[in-house]
Amino acid sequence: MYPLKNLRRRAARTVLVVIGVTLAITLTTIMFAISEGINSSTKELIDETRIDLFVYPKDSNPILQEFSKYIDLADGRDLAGKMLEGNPKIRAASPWLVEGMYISTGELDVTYPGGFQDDSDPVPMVYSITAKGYVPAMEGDFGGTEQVSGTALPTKTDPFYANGTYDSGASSDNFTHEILLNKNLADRLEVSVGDTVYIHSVGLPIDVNNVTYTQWQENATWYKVHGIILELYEPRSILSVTMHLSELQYLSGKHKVNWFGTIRTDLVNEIYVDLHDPDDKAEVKRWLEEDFEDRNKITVVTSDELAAEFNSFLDIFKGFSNMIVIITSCVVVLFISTIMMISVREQGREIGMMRAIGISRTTIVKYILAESLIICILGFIFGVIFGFIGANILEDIILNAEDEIPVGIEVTTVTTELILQVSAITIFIGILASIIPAAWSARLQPVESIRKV
Amino acid sequence: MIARNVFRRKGRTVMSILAVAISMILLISMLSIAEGIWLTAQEDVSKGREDILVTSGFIAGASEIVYGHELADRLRADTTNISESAPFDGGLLQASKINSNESGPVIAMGLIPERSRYFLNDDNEIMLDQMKIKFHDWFDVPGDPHFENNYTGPWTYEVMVDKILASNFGLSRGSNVNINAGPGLNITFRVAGLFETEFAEGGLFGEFFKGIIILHLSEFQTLKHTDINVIDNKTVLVDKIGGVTLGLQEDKRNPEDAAEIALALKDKYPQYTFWTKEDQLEWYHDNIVTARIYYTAIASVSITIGILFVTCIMIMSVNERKNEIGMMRAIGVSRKSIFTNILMESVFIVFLGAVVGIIPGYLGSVWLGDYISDIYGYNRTLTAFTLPMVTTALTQLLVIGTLASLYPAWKASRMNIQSVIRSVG
Repeated sequence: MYPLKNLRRRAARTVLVVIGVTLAITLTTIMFAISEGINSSTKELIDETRIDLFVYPKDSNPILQEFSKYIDLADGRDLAGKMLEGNPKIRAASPWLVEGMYISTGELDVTYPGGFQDDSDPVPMVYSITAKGYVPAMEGDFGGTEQVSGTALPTKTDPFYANGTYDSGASSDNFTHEILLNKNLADRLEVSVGDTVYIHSVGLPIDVNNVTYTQWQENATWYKVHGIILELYEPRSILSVTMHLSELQYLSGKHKVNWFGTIRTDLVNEIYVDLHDPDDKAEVKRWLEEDFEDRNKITVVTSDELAAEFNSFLDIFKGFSNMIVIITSCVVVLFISTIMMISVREQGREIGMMRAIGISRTTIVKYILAESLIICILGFIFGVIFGFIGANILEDIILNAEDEIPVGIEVTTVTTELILQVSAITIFIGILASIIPAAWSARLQPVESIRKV
Repeated sequence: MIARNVFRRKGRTVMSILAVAISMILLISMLSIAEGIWLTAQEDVSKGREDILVTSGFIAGASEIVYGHELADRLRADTTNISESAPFDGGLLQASKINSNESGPVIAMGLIPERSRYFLNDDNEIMLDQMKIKFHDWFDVPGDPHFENNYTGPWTYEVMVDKILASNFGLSRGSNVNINAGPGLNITFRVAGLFETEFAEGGLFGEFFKGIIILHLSEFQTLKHTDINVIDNKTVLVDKIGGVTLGLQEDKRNPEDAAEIALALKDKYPQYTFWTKEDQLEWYHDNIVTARIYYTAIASVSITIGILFVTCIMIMSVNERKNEIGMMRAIGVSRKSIFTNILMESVFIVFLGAVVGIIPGYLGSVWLGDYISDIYGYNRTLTAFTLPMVTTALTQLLVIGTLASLYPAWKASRMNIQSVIRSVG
């Protein structure tokens, strides 16, 4: 009770010191909430996809490959099939291709002259998109996608592949013309399930930036929208479509490439592997790297390793935020310590009297420590509340300003563990700040102090 | 008088000064990051000979201009305004050491030597894809022969490598290196020379890349598969590039003419973005303003705590000096003088703390610069310590300090003489 009474006696200074501690704890909470938010939601996001192993082309860096897709794997289906057959622990191996494409609704909504052809034909609005190709039947129990409307691709096989012949091009009866749009793209194009869109490869003989309607119709491939989806791992700004692997390979010329005299077929960027038991990740990775017949063509990364790679970027931010937290804590320690010192000096006579009537040095030190801790605890309570509010406001600001952040990422998260961390820092500040005043008060001699009375 | 009053209670004054000084160190260190980025950008953009940068949309990352060679030729055809145009592209490739298993990703760029040479400044540097490159040698073949007849022309097999790749793979002018775009598909290139960028070995750069290479544009495009497409045995041109650098005629190399030419080009080619030097600086500036707000906000927390500290000390000081202030008022010292004295004492502490923090702030910004450079693997110091920045930090602290000191000063000036003197008795 004595420490509380003491603090109340000096209400103004107590309030100011508590405000100081509150500010420091608010900043600490926000800084930690950013690290925690990105860290935990990256891991959650990767877990949510339920992909156990990521197989990339040999020597490619997984992070770079995720962002740039800069080298391809030939014979994607064949490789995936061999994996599935070769190891009973593998439930599914799914080859994927990601390519840049263009899309339009085919409607003429823009007219401008200029560009290379000096005509003034009306042109359709063309959007640059990311197109992803996969074979539904080869998919495992993968997640990370929310169906907003419609269905998944109705044809589960990839008929246009036709044993690697890709016969008759887009006019083939096997060409399904089935497509899924991400919500962002569907909103932008104002299309819904059942509508038709036109996909265009950059490699056709027109300038996509200045295409005439006739050229567009001649070279574009129509697709029917079967579903609108939300992919949690995609940046908010991305416009993307998902289609059958062989159809994307054909449109992007990756079905058959003459590469310096070597014909490469069925090109993909990566193969996602789903295991019956996720605990077998390390064992299957070892098998793929050491015993798999095409081990020289691939690099294997487990989902845990990929999450760790992404989080290594966070270490930079963590180092930076720790530095700020330490500096701010130093200022707060100085603040509390000085104010406590002055208070102890002001109470010199009182402390002398207390010592004279038999109160021990330890009890006096305990009082000082308690005062310091009360200030810190009050600052902690307000700081965590304001920190929580601040983190939420900051999250809204960042998500509004930065559209490259994936849909499923939470920028800030305040967890119990984080609050425990902050409370440990608070207690540390409180103890550190009370050391000098406590030592000072313990040194006071009762006789000398009473003489001053 | 003010200094004497302040140092009557040395302990607390020193502590207050220390707290303000630490806040100043943090503020200067934070501001030095934004200042460093800004000065680096300013220096690079203003020193370069690249008057206008043409991109498909954004200043960086966009790689969606098709028929790049043709676009560059069309732009150069305007000889009244344009002196030279140089198309370029950038991306990632795989490089491997000859007769070794060592391989890895490299940042790769493509250019046409005879077109890009125009942009070399007095220090043999060009800005390519926002990267400053200093050449020690140059390509032997000036043109881009492989581009002829839909990329069926001869290959030069020339590559320029940066010092990091040269060190990693033991390369020098005349030695060979394999460039591959997939397992088992190696093409041997001859090292035509070396260059250096601001990237250093180690750090994040070293973690991801073996180094940087520059190729003839068309050869880079073929390796990246952005040259042509073959669909149903029909070859079609793609010629995808990242951008075109334009050099203006000598008499047009001023901001007004550059802006006018960029505007005219935008009218003619609405699908592209034309960035004059001023536009590029404005883009950097807009980004730096955001960074500066962020860093200042972080440092402001520490500053506010430091200033609260000073305010608290001043309030306590005023309370302790009740009698003294009462006496002063009794002998005719005006409220205004009391107010000014207390205010000046408080501002004096803030000022001293701020000044004390300048030199450690400088050391902090140097340390922070080294820290960031080490982490990213960068040779250049990314922070800057300038007089305007120090003045800004000092002004910010003094303004906040003055505002926070108004309360103790007001409190002192409002003291009731009678009750104060009565309490003396």
